[in-house]
Amino acid sequence: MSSTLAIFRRELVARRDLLLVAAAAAVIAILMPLLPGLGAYDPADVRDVSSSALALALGWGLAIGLGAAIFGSDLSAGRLGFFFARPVKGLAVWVGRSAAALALVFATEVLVVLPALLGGGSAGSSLGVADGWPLAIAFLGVPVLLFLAAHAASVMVRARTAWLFLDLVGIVVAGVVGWVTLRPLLWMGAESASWVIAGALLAALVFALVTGGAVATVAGRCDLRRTHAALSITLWSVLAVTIGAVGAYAGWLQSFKPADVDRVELLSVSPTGEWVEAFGSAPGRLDVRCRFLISTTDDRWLALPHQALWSWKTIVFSIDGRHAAWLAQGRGEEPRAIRYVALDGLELETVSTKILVPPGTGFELSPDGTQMAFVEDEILSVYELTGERLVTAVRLPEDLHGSTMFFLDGDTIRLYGRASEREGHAIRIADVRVPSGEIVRTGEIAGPPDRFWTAFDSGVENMVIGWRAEGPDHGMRNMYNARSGEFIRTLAGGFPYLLSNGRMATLREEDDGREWLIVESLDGAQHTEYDLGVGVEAKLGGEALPGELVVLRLADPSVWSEGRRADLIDLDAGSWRPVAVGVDRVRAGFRWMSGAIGTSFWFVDQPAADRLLTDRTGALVRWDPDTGDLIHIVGGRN
Amino acid sequence: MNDRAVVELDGLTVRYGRLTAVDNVSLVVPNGLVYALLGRNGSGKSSTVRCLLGQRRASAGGARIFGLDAWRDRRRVMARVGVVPENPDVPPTTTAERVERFMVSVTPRWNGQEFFSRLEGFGVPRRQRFDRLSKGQQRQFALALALSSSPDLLILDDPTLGLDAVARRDLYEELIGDLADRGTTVFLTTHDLAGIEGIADRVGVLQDGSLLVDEPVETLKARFCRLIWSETPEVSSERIDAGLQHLDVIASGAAGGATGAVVGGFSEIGFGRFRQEAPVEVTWIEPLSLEEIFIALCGDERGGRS
Repeated sequence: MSSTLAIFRRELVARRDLLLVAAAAAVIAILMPLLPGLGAYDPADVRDVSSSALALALGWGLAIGLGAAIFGSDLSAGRLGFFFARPVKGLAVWVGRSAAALALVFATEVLVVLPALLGGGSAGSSLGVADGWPLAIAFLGVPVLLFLAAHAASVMVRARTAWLFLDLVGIVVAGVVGWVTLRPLLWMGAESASWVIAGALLAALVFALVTGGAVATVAGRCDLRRTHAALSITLWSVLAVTIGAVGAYAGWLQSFKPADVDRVELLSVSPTGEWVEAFGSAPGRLDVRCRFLISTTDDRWLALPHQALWSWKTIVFSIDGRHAAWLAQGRGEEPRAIRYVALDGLELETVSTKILVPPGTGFELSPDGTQMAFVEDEILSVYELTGERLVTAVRLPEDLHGSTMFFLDGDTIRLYGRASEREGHAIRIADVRVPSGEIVRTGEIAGPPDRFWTAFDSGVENMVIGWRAEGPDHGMRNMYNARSGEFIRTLAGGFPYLLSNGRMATLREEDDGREWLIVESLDGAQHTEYDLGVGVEAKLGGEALPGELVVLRLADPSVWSEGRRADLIDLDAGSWRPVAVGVDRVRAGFRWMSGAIGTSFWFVDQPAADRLLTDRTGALVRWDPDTGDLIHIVGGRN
Repeated sequence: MNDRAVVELDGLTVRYGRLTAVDNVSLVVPNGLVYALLGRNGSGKSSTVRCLLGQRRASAGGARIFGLDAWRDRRRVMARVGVVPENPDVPPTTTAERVERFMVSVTPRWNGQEFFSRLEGFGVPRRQRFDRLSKGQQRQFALALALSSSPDLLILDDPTLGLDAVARRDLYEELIGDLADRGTTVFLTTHDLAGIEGIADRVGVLQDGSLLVDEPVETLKARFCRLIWSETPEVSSERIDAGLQHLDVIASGAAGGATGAVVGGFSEIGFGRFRQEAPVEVTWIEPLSLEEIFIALCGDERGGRS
């Protein structure tokens, strides 16, 4: 220990002139506000910025310079023998010299920012690294890494032995493995896990560089070539093991199954309710969320490509519920391949196609899942999925370029396009005949505002467009003919659920907090109101059985933690029956869970999908109408 | 002091890739001896010294100092060894005073007073940066540094390299003084053969990594000499050649009516047999200097007559 300290002290004294440079930089930072052109700024801010910038520049520069010189240059100049000709351990040489170099770097940084700190400033504040970890990383972590990396690079370059080939390969492999380890976590938006893995990878690198440097000094002593060999072997071996361990941990974080899931968040439900696309997180896996396609009726499941919770790239189901398709992962804006799976088999087998779709482009499946359509560069393309054959390609007129589209049936695609501002932003409606590629314009709707919501009835005969507006219902809801765009009527109350048998349901809250369920026919001729109570925070859960609507209310409005109770109302008889207590409507990330659904436009009744609920533990459960039981599907905190 | 071996090389081999710098060298340096390892540039002297200092690991064989493995036990060995490297390795910006402070902490037998007194004797300023000292002063600095740790073994790797005659003399005087005072064992490599002639007890000669000679200076000098004889018509050159075989002739030649030969195996018996075979009139038997012996051994690789 005493020899380590002696070496440490010797190195400090030998390079103490660096502190004079730091003091000069501190003086420059203090005088910066006097420079012409900076008078308009607060002198304290100018001092903060300049002292922090100078401290970092000096600290990082010194770290690189000392890292490159303190061993590499002494080794190649044959001056390391001064230490090895004394009765000191090789490790003491490495630790003493490295610690002294880093102490000098840190002391230099402190010296530069000290006057600004004493003047009431905050180191790094103006550079956005004022607090906690960012500050420590910028002023301590980065210099350490730069010092160690410069040392390794200096030895490798100066020695220029055949090990340099291993070094180059190692750098590439380590970079690729590190990126491959980190990339899925970034893609899935797992911020904490990404930081942990990135930190672990950097820690692994630092550990490998420290170990490599120590072993190289101990084993190589004054021999540059031998030092290089020891450094390369140790560095890449340790890095391989540590990166491997980090990679294994990162893999474990993402490797869980639906059975491991505790928290579950739904993205979409198949029209038949037999499948859900869900994000799940598992205990001990940080904030990693895996995406699964999970059967609600049996134990089949499929892992889907990672993506962020906020991504719009949800899976697309065919209306018959027998096929699901999605985009493969890809880089940046490169087109991505379509993948699909047949959901009616015992084994789920993903099929990769060569059909490429730009990542920001939505696509739709035909009702039987045999065809897919998407618009790219004004061209509507329809492909056969199994044979990957182009069925038709149609150039769309300008007002239909950005259309929302869906298959009406196997032969017809409905387009809703937006006309230009000059044409009043009208919604243009057209049908494309798939076999012939003919475009048939069917009508238009006078333009709603930029942001609006749509819902369709099950026959795609009527549609509701709603948007925010001043008024008692905080918005406008107009019903139109879905084909011709003909205005039918303005609706009262909230945004409606379009139900089977030409009915729709909506909720209305009065000023005294009393909430009402309003059920009426699409033409408004029949109108029934049901009193739900005061302060019950009601939600509509969809038509879980034909003609019967799920309504969820707070079980006890005075005790929020009691959760909600779900009841089923027979829309014909007006009678109520309980479903379950302590449940909630499934929380879909981005899609409505019932009625005509968001961007995918399902127009069939989906009672099975409307029977999905979450229970008190957060698990996804299915209500069995025959037994009244809640059947666990996935998730839930025990 | 006893006669126990201080330095032992046992089949020492050093390879740099495909190049064998030191090839299976074995030698022993007993306590209190001055051993000079000689050789041309690139003969493997410095590689041998680096192995002795534990700064390079032997590719095969080994080097032991005080019975300890020079590589594995470097730290223990270095506590008893003073080193003057081929190229001064003292950090260039440091001064004698700072070096002294460092040495106090790392060298158990360090004597700071002795260090400064030696420097003063050499006329080396104690507050001058090392890189601003003259080459001679740097060597003297290194020697003072090595001697002031009261070493049992002094290893000097070509310590007079680049020094003028005066500086060389000063260095040797200091060395001789220390030997007289303490009887320190010395292992040195040098090209300054004249300088070490009066100091070295034993020499080794390396050529292309192999040890050609390893013997006391006295016996070496006794067996190497130059014979000069007058040419006699009665004695044919064949007889002379046959006679010279008893003396291990290294080189021979004729000039100005006299003929001579450098022999490496001179002995009374051998000389008697030479005279029997070739009854020439030997006019001169001249001992060779160490330098001449070295040149005779290493100067002409052909080793033939000239």
